[in-house]
Amino acid sequence: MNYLHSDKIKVLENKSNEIRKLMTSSFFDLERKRPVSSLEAINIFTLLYFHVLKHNPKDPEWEERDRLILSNRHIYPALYATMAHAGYFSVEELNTLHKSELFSQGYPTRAFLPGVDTNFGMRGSLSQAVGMTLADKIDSGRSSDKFFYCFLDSKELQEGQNWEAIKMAGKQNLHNLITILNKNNFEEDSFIEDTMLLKASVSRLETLNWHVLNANSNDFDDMDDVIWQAQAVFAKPTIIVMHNGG
Amino acid sequence: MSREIYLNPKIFLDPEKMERISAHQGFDEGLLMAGDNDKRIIALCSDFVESKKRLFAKEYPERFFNEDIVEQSIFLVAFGMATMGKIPFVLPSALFSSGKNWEQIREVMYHNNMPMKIIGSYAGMSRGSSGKEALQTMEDVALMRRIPGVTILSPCDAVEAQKATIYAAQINDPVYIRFPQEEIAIITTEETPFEIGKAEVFFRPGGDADVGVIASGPLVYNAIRAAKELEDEGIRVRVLNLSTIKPMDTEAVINLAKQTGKIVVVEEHQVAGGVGSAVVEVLVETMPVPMRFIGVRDMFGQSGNQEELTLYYGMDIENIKNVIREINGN
Repeated sequence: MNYLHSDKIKVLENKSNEIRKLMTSSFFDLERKRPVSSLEAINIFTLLYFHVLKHNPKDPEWEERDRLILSNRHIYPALYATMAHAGYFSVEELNTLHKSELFSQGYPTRAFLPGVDTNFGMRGSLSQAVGMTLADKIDSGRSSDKFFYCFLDSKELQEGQNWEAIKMAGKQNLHNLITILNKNNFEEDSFIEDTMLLKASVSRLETLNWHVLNANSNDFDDMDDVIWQAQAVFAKPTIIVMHNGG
Repeated sequence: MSREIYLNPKIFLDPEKMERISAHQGFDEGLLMAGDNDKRIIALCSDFVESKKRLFAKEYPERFFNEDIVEQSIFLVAFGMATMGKIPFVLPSALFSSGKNWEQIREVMYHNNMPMKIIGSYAGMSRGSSGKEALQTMEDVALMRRIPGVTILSPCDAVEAQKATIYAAQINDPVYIRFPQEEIAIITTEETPFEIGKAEVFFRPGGDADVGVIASGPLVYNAIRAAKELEDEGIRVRVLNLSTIKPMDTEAVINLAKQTGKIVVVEEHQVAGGVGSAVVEVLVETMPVPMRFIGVRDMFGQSGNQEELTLYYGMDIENIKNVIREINGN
């Protein structure tokens, strides 16, 4: 884990601004999507792709890479824009989005996009992340140096299947599974009063052998510090509740 | 003809006293053998009865996961494992495999060709005498057939279940294998040919044929016995064992229709959407012939032992003979 110097933070901030610009300016018909969640995710994606992740855009299938799994699929515009900046494909290629079968059919799918590790077709990809981490555990035991980052939206905690996955991850002591929970106060058509739900969920996560951390998505230093803490957790999966200010 | 496909000769000599084994056991042995050959194979189940007695679980506990009740999550867990290079076998019952998890299975298969192996145990009328009739599953073929790219196997006995499991582990596609809990007569042998995607004629009286029977799963036994008994009445019936339901061996099915001009489909499944429907989809475009269907007609299962239920739903040898006689105009 590299220390995050203040110079590097400036670089990351500039990078995230460029990505934000790219995402909002050109290729995404954002009015039909949920731009707020995507915008909120850009800082953490920037931190991961430009500082934290072990990955190689020139060799997207590199065996030893860290894995990133997106359960809250609606933030994929942020992921694509970040991946374009990271060098997985050119910014121009983004214009083919939704048009070419070869590249992508909208939601990220494994078959069409190198560097995307799983199908982001449905909610509940936390289960997939658990399976990937478990497969790694079978091969490497505790000596694994891979991390599995799964992005989840707080409203997905209303879904039963995710709790099946949470239970399994806790039972299997998946220490290198780091789930990043975007605190979302919006439903499709209304606000959700999710404070109670989130509180209940957090205490239930702790009961099920999860380590719970909080981070501020507007503060690179804070996010980096929290990810470092998550990586150091022993014998437990971690969930980072990402607060988006405002 | 039994010599060419090396069927158990007892089916013609002493069919009442054949050894009966659950296809479950064949699957169990097959999974162990596949696991011996390939360390990528993982088995996952969700609160599965007697899971620790599974041969694979005893031999490879580090590759066997019997989780609590995680019936929906388990397919995506398996998919995650497959993306990391594993070959996961998921072992819940047919009802969970095809019903409760249909959306999960469909989503992970979406534009993916992952080597996931889905086991539908207790398929068909199984469990009729176990007090779990509500779990009888006669809809699973219909549900799984709808998902593009999924291979569906329906072995006719324990020996074929073992082979199906071993072969399924070797192909890089998603495979669904269905079999019942009940003991079935062992009609095939080690030498009987088995190939995914290939249907074999298991019974072929000399000379031309009058009627073709397409059977799948445990009812192949009844179909062969019916055909054998009808031979004495002068009705020549060919029986095709459709061990792979999808992708269907269309050549074998079309040939049978050409040779016989009359087809009877026998399956332990709903007539709507099952093997019969799959055969119709092929023949209606290529070689339309008169057809009859033996299976469950828009009904749920119920309590009863295998013999009683087979009789009730008309899947017994006598009724198969009656249907064949009728379509043959006898």
